[in-house]
Amino acid sequence: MLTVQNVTKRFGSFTALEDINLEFGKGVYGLLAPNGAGKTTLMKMIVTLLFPTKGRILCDGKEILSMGESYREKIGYLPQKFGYYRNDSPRQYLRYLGALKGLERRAAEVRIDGLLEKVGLADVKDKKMKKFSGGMVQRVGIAQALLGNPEILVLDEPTAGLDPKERARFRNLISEFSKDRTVILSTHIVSDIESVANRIVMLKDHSVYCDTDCSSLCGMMGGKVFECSVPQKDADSFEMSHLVISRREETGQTHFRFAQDGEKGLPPQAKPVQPDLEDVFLYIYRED
Amino acid sequence: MRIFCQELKKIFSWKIILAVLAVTFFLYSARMKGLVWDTPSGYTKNPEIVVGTEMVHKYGPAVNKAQQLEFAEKCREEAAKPLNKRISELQEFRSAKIHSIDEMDALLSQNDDADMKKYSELYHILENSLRSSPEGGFLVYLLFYYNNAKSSVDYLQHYDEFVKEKVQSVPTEKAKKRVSEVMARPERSLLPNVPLKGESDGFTECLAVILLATVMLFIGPYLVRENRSGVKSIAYTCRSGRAVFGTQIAAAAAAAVVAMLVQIAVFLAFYFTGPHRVDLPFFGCDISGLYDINSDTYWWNMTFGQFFAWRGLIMFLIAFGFGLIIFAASRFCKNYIAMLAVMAPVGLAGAKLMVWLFDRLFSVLRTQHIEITVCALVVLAPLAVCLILLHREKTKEILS
Amino acid sequence: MRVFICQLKRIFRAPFFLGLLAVFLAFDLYLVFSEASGHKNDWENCRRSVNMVNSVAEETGTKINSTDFKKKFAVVLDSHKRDLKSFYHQKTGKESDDLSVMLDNLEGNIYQMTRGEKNRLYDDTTVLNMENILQNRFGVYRNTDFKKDGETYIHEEKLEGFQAEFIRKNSAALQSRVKEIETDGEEDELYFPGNMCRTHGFLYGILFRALVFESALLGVLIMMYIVNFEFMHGTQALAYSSRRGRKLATNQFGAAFISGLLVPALLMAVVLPAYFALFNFSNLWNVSVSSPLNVEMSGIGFFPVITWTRMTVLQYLWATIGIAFALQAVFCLLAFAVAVFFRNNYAGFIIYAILSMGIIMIPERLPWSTPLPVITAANPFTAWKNCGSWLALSEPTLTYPTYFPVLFLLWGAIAAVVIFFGVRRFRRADL
Repeated sequence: MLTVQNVTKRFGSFTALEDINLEFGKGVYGLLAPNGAGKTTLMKMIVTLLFPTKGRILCDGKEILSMGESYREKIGYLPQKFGYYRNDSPRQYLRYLGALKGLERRAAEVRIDGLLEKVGLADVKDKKMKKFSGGMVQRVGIAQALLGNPEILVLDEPTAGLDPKERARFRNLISEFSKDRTVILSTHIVSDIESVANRIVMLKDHSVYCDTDCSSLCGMMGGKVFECSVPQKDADSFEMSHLVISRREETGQTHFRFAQDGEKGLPPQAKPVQPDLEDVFLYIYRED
Repeated sequence: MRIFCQELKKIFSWKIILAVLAVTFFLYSARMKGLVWDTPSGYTKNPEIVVGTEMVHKYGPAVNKAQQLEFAEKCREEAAKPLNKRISELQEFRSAKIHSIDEMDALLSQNDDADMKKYSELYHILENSLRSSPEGGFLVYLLFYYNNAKSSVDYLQHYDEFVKEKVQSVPTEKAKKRVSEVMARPERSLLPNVPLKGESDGFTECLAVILLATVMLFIGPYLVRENRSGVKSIAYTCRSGRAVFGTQIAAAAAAAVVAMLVQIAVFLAFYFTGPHRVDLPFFGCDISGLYDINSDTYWWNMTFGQFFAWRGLIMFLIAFGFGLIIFAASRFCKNYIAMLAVMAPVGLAGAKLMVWLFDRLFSVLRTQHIEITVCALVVLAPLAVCLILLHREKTKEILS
Repeated sequence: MRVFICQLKRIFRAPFFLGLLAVFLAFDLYLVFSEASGHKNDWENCRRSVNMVNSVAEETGTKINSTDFKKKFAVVLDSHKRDLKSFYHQKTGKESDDLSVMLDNLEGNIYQMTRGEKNRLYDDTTVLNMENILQNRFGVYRNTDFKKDGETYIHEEKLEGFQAEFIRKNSAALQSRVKEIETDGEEDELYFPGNMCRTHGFLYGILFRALVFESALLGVLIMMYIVNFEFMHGTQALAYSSRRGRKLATNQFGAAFISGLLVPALLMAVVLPAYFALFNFSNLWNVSVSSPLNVEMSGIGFFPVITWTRMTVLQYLWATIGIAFALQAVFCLLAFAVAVFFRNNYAGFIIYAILSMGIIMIPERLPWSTPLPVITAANPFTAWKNCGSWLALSEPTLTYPTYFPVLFLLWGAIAAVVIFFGVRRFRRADL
């Protein structure tokens, strides 16, 4: 159990996070917030790259900063901007990280081969990474995060640069992995969290806005999401006066999906629809 | 240990090894070309070396005054041989009825203006002729050498005055005492000037530059590459955590030591198989109290072999210290240009320091213990900086 | 223009540019001040000697063979001899007329003297030594026979064809230049005696050599920094897909080249005034640099400075400055050529350093049976190494009047060809 207790983080006069209280047990936790809300800051504090200005982070009741090696042994981390050695192959790169993670050499070799197979890079395991596409590099990053078989997996925008097929593979990997582990992942691709996350943590105004499961979150928006079509000539004025979630052009008509509190001002042709996580995201962060 | 070996592999990349080999090759080639070595009139045939070896075999590493006079006289005769041979070939000397270097020298003692002018003209002719010969600079050096050997004979015959002058020429009381003590010895070392001060200096200078260049080429780009790769944010979250920086310091230090030891081994191979092999008989001779007026007196009683080892050790320590300086500085360099901008002046400062230090190593004309102080400072200061950086790394926030 | 200015600003704001410039200025000023302070040993002080000679020149003029000079110099000499006697009496309590005895004794006691007393001794010694040097000046040129030396060299090296003719021609030119020096009055011009003052050796052999090296180093770093700037920061995709596109490289080159030329200007603008403020040349600007007094120890021999044409001190200084700038241009062009082929600046710099070492060594290794030693010796790195002997007598492969025109033409062409292929490669490269 990972506990974030009254954590505040300031950079000079700027407060990135204020009085955060969270608990992470087994399962997948999705961290959802717009850019600059403090997701990466929180994740970096969890993996000991940054230190809280106030408060503490505990792992099974012990402070992570004092645990040292025994805590870092349990974590796997994939940063948002992922660094690597351009002249290394994935196998060489993972061998180096295996050494850093304290894996025994032979066990590391077996694990490396298995992981590269799982992320679909078995064919290029000895090719230099400078020749890889962005998606391939990202897959190496995912592999290294899983290398030490961590109990706590922290992934900062792990699906950036992956195509739909790779994202699907990634989701399956995470689901499989998360059976007895804690996975904390942040992403802007809401559909990734929707299908795998057990709980969603949303941050707003530098603190926790909500910490609940996906269906409860979507339930908050019940009766507030609608769809309708308007003539194209009225589309722009409609968009100005409503919180539009999506817009689609059809012949002579513009189809809108929008959120609204209450029925005042609702176009007569509007029909209520089942809200999803993206609707919730856009509605909650509408002022940002 | 595995992480340490991985870091070493990063430092000893094949491209940098090639660069170091190329630089080493050029430096040795330049120095070897500049010195006249194993030629018919080269280093191995230097009269000091030839006569000195003979005397060491006959008398051991030190000789009394009479034997010393014999040595200086023999050196003068040996130097005169090739000069006389050249004089016999020159038309101007035949016309002036001068058949040997001694006869040319005798013109000076006449104190006659016409003779002095004749001497000056003949000297220039001889000098130019020697310079344009295949043996080149070495024979011209021999001309000076002949004069030096001749002066030594004169001075040995006026030994007490020479001692008084020498004592007066040193700046401090402590140094004067040391010079008096050394000059009062009944037996004097047979170590010639040449291994200490002659061509050896250039060769040793070459090693100093090679050690510095080697260490800097290996260590300079190491942390810059790490900074640019951005692997830190993953590496520091692994089990080994920020301790990996300590491993990197250790790896850099070890790499510097290994690289320098290899270079020193190569140098020793050249030294002991090349022309300098003729220095071996003198390794047991004391370094102080040479017969020549211009020689230094040294603070310590040590043999040439010990001096040789000390010189190597000091070079090693200074190159090591400067390597650590580069390592610490490169921690803050975000790109190779910044690192090169640091490396260039630091490297030149290191080279200058070595040249200054070896100019009068252990000599009484310098403060006693200055060498040890400089070495300690050059090694300990950057080491302390590295340890401070290591300590800071533990609490440094990794923002990107 | 805006893009060009942006590139310039980038260079001037780079910490390495300002840092290295400051370090070099500090080092050069240290060189100048340490030469001026006479720290090398206690028996001589070049600065005092230089300023003494300059003040003698103010009183006597610079034409040694003129009656006026002889009369006035005799007065100066006499004054210093009397001063020496008085100083000797003051320090030892003895009287003597033997100058060598007085000097030996005083120099032997130099450690016990105050700064003022040492300066007094230096001044007297300078003037007394000048007397000998002026009298013996004819020995410098009149005993030389470059034609004969050239023939000896040809015979010893067994040269023939082009090489023999080359040596013969240049030896003859040198000899006729020596004759010119003997006849046109240069032999009778006062200059700073080489072994006392070491002006030429220090100013051109040490200071200018340091300035050229530092300028080259900073110029190379600037060029590599700017040319590969976008690649270093990962912005090449943005920069080279913009409207300016790959032509941006032209702006980058221009800015780096201008900055590279600015470096020696900045260094010289500070260091040279500092040098001339300490070493007073005011009365000797218009004397010939080929004066027989300008002879210093070089290696194991004495080498006079024999320029190909009569050049005054001022003219030689300007010529050296001009050559330094031209060499800097060549260094920068070569750096651009290397940077275009090597994106990794560390690799590029090491390649540049190795190439420069190799280029210096090549002429020495080539046999004189081909014209190659002469051609390959005309390179900017060898020219730097021979700083101090520019436009004058030097090694056989470097001693000919058209050395610098050949160098700049040849290396300008080499740089142009390499740059042409490099730029063409860049235009077609996948980014």
